[in-house]
Amino acid sequence: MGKLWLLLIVAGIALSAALAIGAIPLPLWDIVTRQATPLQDTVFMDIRAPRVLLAGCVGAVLGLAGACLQGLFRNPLADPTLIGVSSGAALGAVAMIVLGDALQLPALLAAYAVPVAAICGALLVTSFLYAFAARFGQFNIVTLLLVGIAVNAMSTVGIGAFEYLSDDRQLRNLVFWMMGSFGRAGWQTVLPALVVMILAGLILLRQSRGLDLIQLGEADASFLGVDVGRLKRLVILMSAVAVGAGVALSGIIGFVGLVVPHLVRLLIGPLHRFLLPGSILLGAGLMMSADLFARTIIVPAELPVSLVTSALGAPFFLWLIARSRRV
Amino acid sequence: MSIRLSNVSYSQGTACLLDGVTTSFTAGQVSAIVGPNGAGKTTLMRLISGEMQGSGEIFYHERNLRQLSLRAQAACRAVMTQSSQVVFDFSVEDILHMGWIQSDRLLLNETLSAVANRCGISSFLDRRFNSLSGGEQQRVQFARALLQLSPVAESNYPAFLLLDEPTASLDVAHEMMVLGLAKEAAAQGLGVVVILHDLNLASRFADNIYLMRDAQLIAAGPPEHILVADLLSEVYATPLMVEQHPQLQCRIVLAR
Amino acid sequence: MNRALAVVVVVWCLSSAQAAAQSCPDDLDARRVAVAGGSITEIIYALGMQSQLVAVDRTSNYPEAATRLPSIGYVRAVSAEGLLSLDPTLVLGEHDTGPLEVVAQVRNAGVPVVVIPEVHTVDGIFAKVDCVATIMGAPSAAVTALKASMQDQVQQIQSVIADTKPRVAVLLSLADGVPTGGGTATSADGVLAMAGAENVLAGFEGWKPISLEAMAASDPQYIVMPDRGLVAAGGRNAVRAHPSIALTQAGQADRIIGIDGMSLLGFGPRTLGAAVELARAFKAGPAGQ
Repeated sequence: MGKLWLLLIVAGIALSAALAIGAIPLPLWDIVTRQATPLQDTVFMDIRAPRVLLAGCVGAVLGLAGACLQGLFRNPLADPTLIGVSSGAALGAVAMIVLGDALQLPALLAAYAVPVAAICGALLVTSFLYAFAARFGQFNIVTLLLVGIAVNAMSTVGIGAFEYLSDDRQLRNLVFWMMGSFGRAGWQTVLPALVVMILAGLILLRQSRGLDLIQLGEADASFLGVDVGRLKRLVILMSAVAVGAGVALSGIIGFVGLVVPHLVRLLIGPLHRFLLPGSILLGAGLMMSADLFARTIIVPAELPVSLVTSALGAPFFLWLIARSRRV
Repeated sequence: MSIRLSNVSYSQGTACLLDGVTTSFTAGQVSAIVGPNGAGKTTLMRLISGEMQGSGEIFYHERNLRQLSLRAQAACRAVMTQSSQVVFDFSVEDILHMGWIQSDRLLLNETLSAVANRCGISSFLDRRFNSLSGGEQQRVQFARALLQLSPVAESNYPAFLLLDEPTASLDVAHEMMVLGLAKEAAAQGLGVVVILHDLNLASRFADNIYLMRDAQLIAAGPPEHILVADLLSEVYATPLMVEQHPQLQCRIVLAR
Repeated sequence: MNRALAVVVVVWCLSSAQAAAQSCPDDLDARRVAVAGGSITEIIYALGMQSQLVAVDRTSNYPEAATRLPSIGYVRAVSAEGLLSLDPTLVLGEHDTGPLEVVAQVRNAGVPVVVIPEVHTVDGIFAKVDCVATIMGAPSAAVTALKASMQDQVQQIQSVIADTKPRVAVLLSLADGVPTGGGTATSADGVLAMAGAENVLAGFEGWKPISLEAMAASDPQYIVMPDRGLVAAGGRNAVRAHPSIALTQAGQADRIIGIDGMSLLGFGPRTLGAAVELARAFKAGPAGQ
């Protein structure tokens, strides 16, 4: 419990740093006391604040979804990106970007079409993975990764096809979006996604006991009073909703969902009632820091944030594989 | 106070795995289910535990199992299956906590240390579950099952402990230990239903023995009624002899 | 999202021809200009207005001095805060400046973003020069001198242009062995038309990967590649030996032309020079023999 406070402090520091530091020097105190210039206000309110908030929330849901999926699959390498949930969301979003014009949705719906499509894509992949696992027995670590490779490959095919179909303007959208970035955050897009992510997150947080018990095996969990079918449906649905909503705004950002739950387990153990909030805090802190690095290291330009997270995550992933081979 | 089965059957496709079993298991006693391989012992256990549903009715204290919620079922019976692998590094204490289905955390700590003492696992509550030996893990799982039922054990409804071959991977010392604990739990009022392969363990620990063959329950009663050479030889299709052990005061079964 | 849609509409209107006049306003504060687009940077240098530049994007690699200015990144992935941190009074971008949300953010912060219209013809280049000159408030002498030298090059093109149109393909790269070629409505298509050549890849729109068989079947007499794409593909001989290109006239006669990418495809003044170079090469080839 005390260590959870530690993670809260870490996330708080990351939040303050991300809000305070950027290409344009912004004296936070002046902004709070309304003494900043209008330009500083605009930069803070319209550019930096929504961006930091989006980064924090996407990091939080990726961490949370990673922890929940690892728990549900009883597999420490289940990560929304590795097993294809993110690329499923990407496929859904890409399809909507390219085909959306043809659907001629009313403007009010069109605004939410891409996130909804991303959620559907994520849902499709997650359900498929679970159905596959249910049919062929519980996945061991290697099988899950292999299936993930296959799913990612299928999504890549789909995305490639849509890239081919897209016109120049759509393609520009796609390319930028596949790189993963929080640079496009604005209140109009961030707020609805935030609501969705928070709702899904709250529902996931309530599953901590079920996720603990399912570690004993599905039958044992149900002997202890857990409705295993309901647990699976909720975790799959809500993880997909949260990841889909995040991916729709920020593109694919790898490894956060893998690394964060592991670090939290090392710090405060595997019990989900600590692991889930811990993953939210660390995921948010890590992502805000990664984005801070990405947008300040080569000012005035910026790095794709997925480059930063992958640079951190890929070696960690290798270490995990080496460790799991030994066990 | 009992589990009562009324004409319980189960079939899978054309194969009948359990055929019209009507019987009851009494609380405060150890009931051992025995029989040759494929007799339907595990099917019976899975139906009693609610893991599978067949035809016929099963009553816990005259409450129909079908009408009990999963939570209510969890308060009526605990099931100890063959120990499954736990992926993440839970401590022994974490695993025990998972058996606690009540919300009262204060009572938990009290009960937990009592149960841990009884099962002889107090010394490694802090260790990683995965680092334990098979026998130690089995004891922890047993303690978890006891913990699940302990608040109920003091109420008016005695609960049932369902054990599917709890001694399968244990050496003789651990065999004695786990069945001794089961017997002790029964003495304190719990009902214990246990599948056993070893007729001599059934003889030593069971108050009642349920003999199965070919998906049917063919005899039930105290050991001296069931452990009879003629009956066993016929059921197991092997010549067996039964002797009274002079010191243990129970029957022992030997192949001829 | 609504704002994004609005921006899409606005940008689309700006880049369409009828709005061209409004998109080159002369009343903007052009003292500190950030540029996203190599051809605009090139024009500003050619007009001698470079002292007003505060930053350029990564496609601005000509003249060499431009590469020493602060870089705002790739034209399609500009950072809003990074851009604003340079305190520009104006942002000039090519048609593909983005992402659109970032353009909107910069405008919200009170910095005008002007998207220069792009038309892939000789007139289009002249219009671009006029537009940039108007916005930057360039002295008319500099504009006249630049346009005179450009006119010079246009005449050179006309003097060397071949009688029969050679069949040419422009390939961006041979990444993973798959050629990416320019179809209609690309700058490649425009520069080939200028140099009096026929684009053999006119069967599709935009830049697309081309199947090897389709590449062989298109049978160009010349293949034009940007220098960087040529180097990345392993040099002229590697391109010649590529299984699909080896079957074409261009491959068999070793008529692979490497040319600086931004001068070829950027549609600034240098593109006229590239067109002259191409037209000369075509004249020396089968059309002239």
